[in-house]
Amino acid sequence: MPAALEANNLTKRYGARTVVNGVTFAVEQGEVFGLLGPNGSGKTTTIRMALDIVRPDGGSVSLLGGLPPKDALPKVGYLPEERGLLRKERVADILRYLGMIKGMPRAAAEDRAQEMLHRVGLFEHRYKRVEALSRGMTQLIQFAGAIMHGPELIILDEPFSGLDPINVQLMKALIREQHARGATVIFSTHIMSDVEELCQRVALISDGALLLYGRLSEIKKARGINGVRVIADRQPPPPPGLETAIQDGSAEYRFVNGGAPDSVLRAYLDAGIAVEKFELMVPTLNDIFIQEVSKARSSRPSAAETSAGVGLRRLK
Amino acid sequence: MLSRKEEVLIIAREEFRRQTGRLGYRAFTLLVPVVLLLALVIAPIVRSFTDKETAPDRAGYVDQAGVLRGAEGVPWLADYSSVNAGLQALRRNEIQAFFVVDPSYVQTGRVSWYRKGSAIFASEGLGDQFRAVLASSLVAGQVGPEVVIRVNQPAVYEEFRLGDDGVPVLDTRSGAEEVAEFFVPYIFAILLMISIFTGSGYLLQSVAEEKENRMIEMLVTSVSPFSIMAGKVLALGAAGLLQVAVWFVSALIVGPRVMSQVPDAGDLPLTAALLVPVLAFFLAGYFLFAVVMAGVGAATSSVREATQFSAVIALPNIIPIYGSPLIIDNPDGLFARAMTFIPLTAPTTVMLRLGAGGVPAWELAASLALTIASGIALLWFSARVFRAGLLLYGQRMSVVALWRAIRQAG
Repeated sequence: MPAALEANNLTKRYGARTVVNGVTFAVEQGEVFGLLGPNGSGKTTTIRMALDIVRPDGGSVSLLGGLPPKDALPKVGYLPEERGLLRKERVADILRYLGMIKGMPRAAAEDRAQEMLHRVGLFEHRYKRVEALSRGMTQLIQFAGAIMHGPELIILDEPFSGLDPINVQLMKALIREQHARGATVIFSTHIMSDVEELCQRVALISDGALLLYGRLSEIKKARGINGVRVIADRQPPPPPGLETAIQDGSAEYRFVNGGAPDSVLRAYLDAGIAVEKFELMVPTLNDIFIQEVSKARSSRPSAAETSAGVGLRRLK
Repeated sequence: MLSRKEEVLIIAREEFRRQTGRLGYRAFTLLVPVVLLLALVIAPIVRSFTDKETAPDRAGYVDQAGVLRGAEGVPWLADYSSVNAGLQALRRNEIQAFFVVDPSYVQTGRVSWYRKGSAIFASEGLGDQFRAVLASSLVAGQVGPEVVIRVNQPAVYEEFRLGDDGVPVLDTRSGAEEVAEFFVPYIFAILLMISIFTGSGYLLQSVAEEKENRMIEMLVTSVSPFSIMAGKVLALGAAGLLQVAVWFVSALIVGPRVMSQVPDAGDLPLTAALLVPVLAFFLAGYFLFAVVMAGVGAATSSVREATQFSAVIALPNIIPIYGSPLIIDNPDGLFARAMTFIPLTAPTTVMLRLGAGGVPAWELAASLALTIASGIALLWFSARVFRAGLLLYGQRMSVVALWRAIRQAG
């Protein structure tokens, strides 16, 4: 099956700064794909190159099996990172307009706009001007505009940022609906829980370079077990080489310099402590993200140091 | 998939709806018909006052120099026996002016003129008429009656104007007609200037806003930058056409009725010879400035920045208005002709020249062709600037960066 999006050695430079550096990945048709990375990592530039908004300085990117942009873009729905609609426009008008420029006949676009407004729970606001809506509402309208023509490929740049938890749930439900009807969904984020909830495969970009790419389950599996969690009355002296965190009778032991689960269990047994619960810990995507980004940045200490701090702080 | 034509039409229809839906646009469009309707209502009222004022006023005199001969037969003039008697009559409003011809009149020309109220509102006509009575009296009996008439009315002009071909043509227009012929294009020049300011300013703001809030990203992933630009300019042109059509139609319907209320005004000079070039240059000017403003909106990165630039870009439109004394005094002079062949100043200049005595046909044709050709070339360039503006995401907008991006934008 041809890829929904294929980037080959994609490179973009702004002056002396390389913002995307030889990124290669492919998104299969019909999957939900996560494009991860800290702020300023090159995710948005990668998306803009894919959509022919900006041109790459090196490499190539193709959509929907290599269709020329002119043919592919009408089949794509796009929610930009920086949201904005014409403030003086009425909600129903702007949705109809967004449908029409994607090739929908006027009447169909009008009907679909009403339908989408019902779906995102904003039907009663259809005659309001955009400027009268909240930021979250505007974001939902823009999302509705991106999907109203039933695109084959949906690209969402930071779709959940700025939404309240209720609307995040709604947005996730809409993404699942689109996926269920067969659309490919790519979204960029630095919120790892969203990725774990929705994505089958991911690509992690930091400072313009691809750090990780593949099936989420396989990425996690490849990391192996990175610690154990033990629930007991008390804790024995921690075995050497482990990072220990104790809270309310639950102790977490992370394998920093090697270590194995049986060494922890043996310490409890040797101390004669009854173990209530013993579970193996696999790394969360958040752990993997922080670890990979930190590792990549520590190997490039110059410019990366400062921005790594910013990126990691925002993750918390 | 939409064709290029369909893309342009969709954008144009939406932009037209937005443009014509603006309160400012509607108010300005309705300004001319409303003013004309007001004039229609006010003119008869003003005329009724004027008619009262032009009813024959009466004056009185005392001739202390003994120079007035035959004044007794003048119906509006009363002879008083003394200054006191004349002043009493003035106080009683029996007369509106009272003249005392001083004993030294022949040597000094001194005549005392008594009237009520401020000199601003005094009837100057009575002064002129009394002067004519004096002139007739001075020469009466010494020359024939025809000469007496000529003394009062020394010249009845037969006016000729040199046409475009240098041949004299009898000019039968009244003063009011001449004023109307000058002011119709002049008013259109002013309206064009304001219309361009508001219309193209709106376009600039719309492009800059779409860029600033990134709505443009959704647009360019759907339709081509050229279609966006062409659609916007087309819509603005259509909105301009609608505006000018409303003005012309209202002027054609209401104008003659207003003119009929003005004495000696004749017909409103809305001839094809005037209307066609005015309309053509209005639209060409609208198109050109729309394209330029769209390009500026595309090249700048915020509405604020774009607005600052717009004032500079609109400046050429104002130069002919500031230079209008030069153009009106000498419509075929170097300044007027130079401004006619600079596309950004041509529309306003041509309208001023049309009012000030006409523009040779070849100059009209050449100037119009130049304006339209510049608009088309700039439309293509603006679309590239628009595309280039997108390519410059993440970079500081500089002339060098923009030029590099324009070359890459193709």
